[in-house]
Amino acid sequence: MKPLHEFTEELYRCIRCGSCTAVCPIFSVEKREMSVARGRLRLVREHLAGNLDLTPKMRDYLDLCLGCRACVVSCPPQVPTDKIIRAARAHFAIKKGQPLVRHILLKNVLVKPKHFTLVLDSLKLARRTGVNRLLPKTLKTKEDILPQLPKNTFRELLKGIELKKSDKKVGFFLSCMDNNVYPQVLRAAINILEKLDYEVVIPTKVVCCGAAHDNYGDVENARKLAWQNIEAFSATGVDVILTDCATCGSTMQSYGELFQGKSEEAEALSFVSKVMDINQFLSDKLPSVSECAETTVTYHDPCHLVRYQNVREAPRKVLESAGVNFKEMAEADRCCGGGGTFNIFHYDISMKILDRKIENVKQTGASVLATSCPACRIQLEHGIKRHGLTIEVLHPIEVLEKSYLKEGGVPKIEIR
Amino acid sequence: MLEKSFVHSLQQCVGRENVLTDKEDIICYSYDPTPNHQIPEAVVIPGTIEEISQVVMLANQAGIPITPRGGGSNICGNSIPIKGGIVLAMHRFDRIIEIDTANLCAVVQAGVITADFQRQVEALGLFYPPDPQASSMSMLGGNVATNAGGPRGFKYGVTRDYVLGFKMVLADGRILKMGGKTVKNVTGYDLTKLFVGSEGTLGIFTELILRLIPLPESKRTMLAVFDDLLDAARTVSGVIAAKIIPTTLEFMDREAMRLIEAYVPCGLPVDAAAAILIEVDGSERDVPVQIKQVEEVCRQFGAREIRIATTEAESNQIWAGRKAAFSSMAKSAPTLYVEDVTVPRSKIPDIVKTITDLAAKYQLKIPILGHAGDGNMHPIILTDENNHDEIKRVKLAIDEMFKAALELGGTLSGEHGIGLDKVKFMEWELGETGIDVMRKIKHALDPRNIMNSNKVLPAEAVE
Repeated sequence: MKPLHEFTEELYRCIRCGSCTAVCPIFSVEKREMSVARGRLRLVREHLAGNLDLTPKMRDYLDLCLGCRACVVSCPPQVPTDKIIRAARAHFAIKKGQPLVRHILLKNVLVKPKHFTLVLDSLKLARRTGVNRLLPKTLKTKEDILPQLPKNTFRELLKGIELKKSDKKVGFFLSCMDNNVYPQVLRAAINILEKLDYEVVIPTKVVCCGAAHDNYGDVENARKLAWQNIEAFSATGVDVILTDCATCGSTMQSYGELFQGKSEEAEALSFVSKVMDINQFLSDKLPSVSECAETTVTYHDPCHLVRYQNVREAPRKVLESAGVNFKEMAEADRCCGGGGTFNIFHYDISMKILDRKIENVKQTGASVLATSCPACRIQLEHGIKRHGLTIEVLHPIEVLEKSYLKEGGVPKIEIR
Repeated sequence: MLEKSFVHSLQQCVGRENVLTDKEDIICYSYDPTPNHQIPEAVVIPGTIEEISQVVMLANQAGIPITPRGGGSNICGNSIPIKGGIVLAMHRFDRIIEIDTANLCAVVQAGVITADFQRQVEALGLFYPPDPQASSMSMLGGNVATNAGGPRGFKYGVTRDYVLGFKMVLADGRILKMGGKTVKNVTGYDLTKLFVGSEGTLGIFTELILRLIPLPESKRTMLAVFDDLLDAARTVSGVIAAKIIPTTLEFMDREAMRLIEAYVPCGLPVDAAAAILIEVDGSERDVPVQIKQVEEVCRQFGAREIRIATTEAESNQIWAGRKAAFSSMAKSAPTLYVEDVTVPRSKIPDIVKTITDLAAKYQLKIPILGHAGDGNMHPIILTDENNHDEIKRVKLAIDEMFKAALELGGTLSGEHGIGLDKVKFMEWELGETGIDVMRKIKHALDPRNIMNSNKVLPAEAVE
């Protein structure tokens, strides 16, 4: 990963045309120059030129970015603002350390899968006993973002699952979010892959992909986690590593950059070449369906899939194969405002961005909203609750599973 | 530095959270797309016309300069607070107050984004034609202040042709209301025409009454390719002589097409001298007839190739190159000088030749785009602000380019405005008398010279 001062040339490529102001979700709410790529790049540039200190205010402005990459895509000279912001956060972390809450999150909670589960278990307990109701209002609002948590994590369930054996093997990455919050998505993925006659190899030694560490400039831990994942898969000998989480997918695909110029780079790049989103893997392996079911489904593009991995058509194809009535929403690829923990740290701004998304969902009349990232899903479910709607949020693979398991209406899977 | 007591008064006008003075904040209001920059002393973000009036009154009393800022997307240096003072950011004025379908007009606040407004009126089958390149980030107030144009200007006119009336805050803080919802209005002097295009030097627009027209039913796009610039220019005149007014006559020279093709290959003929993207619009019945006529004219004047889009996808394909033009140039050089010299339509080959010669003479890359229908050329100088030697040559080339445009009976600026960058050429075009009359107007309305000072008119020897 390039240190901040090596981005000088890119910083000077910003021609200040303002194209980013037209697409930035934060700017659409804040409407101030400090809240958009053009301003943030200027702040970083002035800091590197020695005209601006690393003040708390500057940290706030650097934090106030969802990393959705909308500005990068629309930028005429294609300044890599997302990378510059991450490098600036890393620079800040080195010079000034991390804020306390983030420090705990990055260094303690997210470094071991068990720790993350423990935190969520405590939340479950608090909810069961009603202790969570004692939280001050500002914290309670944030706690409400997290959905009902399942009784068992996927890791627990996995112990009772006998995985099918086959010559065709694919690796599967256990995302922390799906493991803890949406184990049913992982279950659906295995069901579908096994129906297609694949053996699903799930190494349990994997850890957090390091998205939050990468995002908030904790490069050291990001590398540690990345290396554990690379090792966990190298032992399995699979050629394909699938994930149902857009964020994990894009983070794992950036491992090459993380180890740039290091001795581990070659192995990291070989790992990267195997990582693939499940939608993309399945999109050319499913039968096409002619009849349309009654369910109307719309799709929200996670930033980490559509702009980081360039996967736009595949999830739509998966939904098509499920035989549902697909209805495209307006601004489907506009960020939902979730941003991992952004919704917790910047609740009000996040909700304004979410409201626009939910309005677009509502306009389609869909009863199912599909999306391919658990972080988006948490945010979207919160939005639906907030607006008093009854739309179900599912991963495309769950929509597929439901349609295949439905009696009578099962389009037969033919292996190609 | 502004005095504490003055900042305090500003805060009392607009609220503490709407006055920015921290360095991290004011730095972000120091720039626009031109290479100029200057950090203001404060940024004020008013929410009502009364607040602006009070702020301006305070500034006028204290002699503090004010620079109004809309979307910050102008390309003449208009948003630069060159004398420090206050930047007045207009983004809270973001309400479309009314779209009046009976009177075919709309009442909007000045901070509404141009493209947002267009989407809303088009959903009602209406049309607001001015389409500056920056429409997805520019504000209508800024468009009015710079009298913005765009590719559709030839057929539909420019922003001025759609302003029926406005509210503005004058340099002494008084509120001026002009015009209304009527198309006809000859009451008194036509101040609307005077203030539209005044580039923030005479006051701050806060509310606009804009004329709308019915949205054309249909459109068709084509690309005509030429081996000779003269043929391309004659074709433009030929189309107009055939009494067809296309919506768009977008000119691209070879250098521009090469850059675009290198950036996104979209099938532009890089060996041709020029291509013209032509679009006609009108009723379902009219459009096929028009496009046929245009095709005949193109053939008659020696187009080597003509591509007519038959589907929306093909039309998008033709547009893809033109739309990527600016990006392709921004990607190829760190600094762009985007000019808009404009000449009588018949002189297009002369100005294109002048620019091409200047590029060779000063060893510069100057691809040319242009709105051929109205002779509005966009030579874009690709350079690097850190290469001081090259910047010197850029400045010399610009001087000569403007001189040539004026000699051809043209003008310094077709649609971008004068701002900071072209002030020194004003006397060439206007002469002493022209400058004097404009100065008298400025003095009468802004005696303390606080409103966007040093823009449009050259500073006087003694202020």
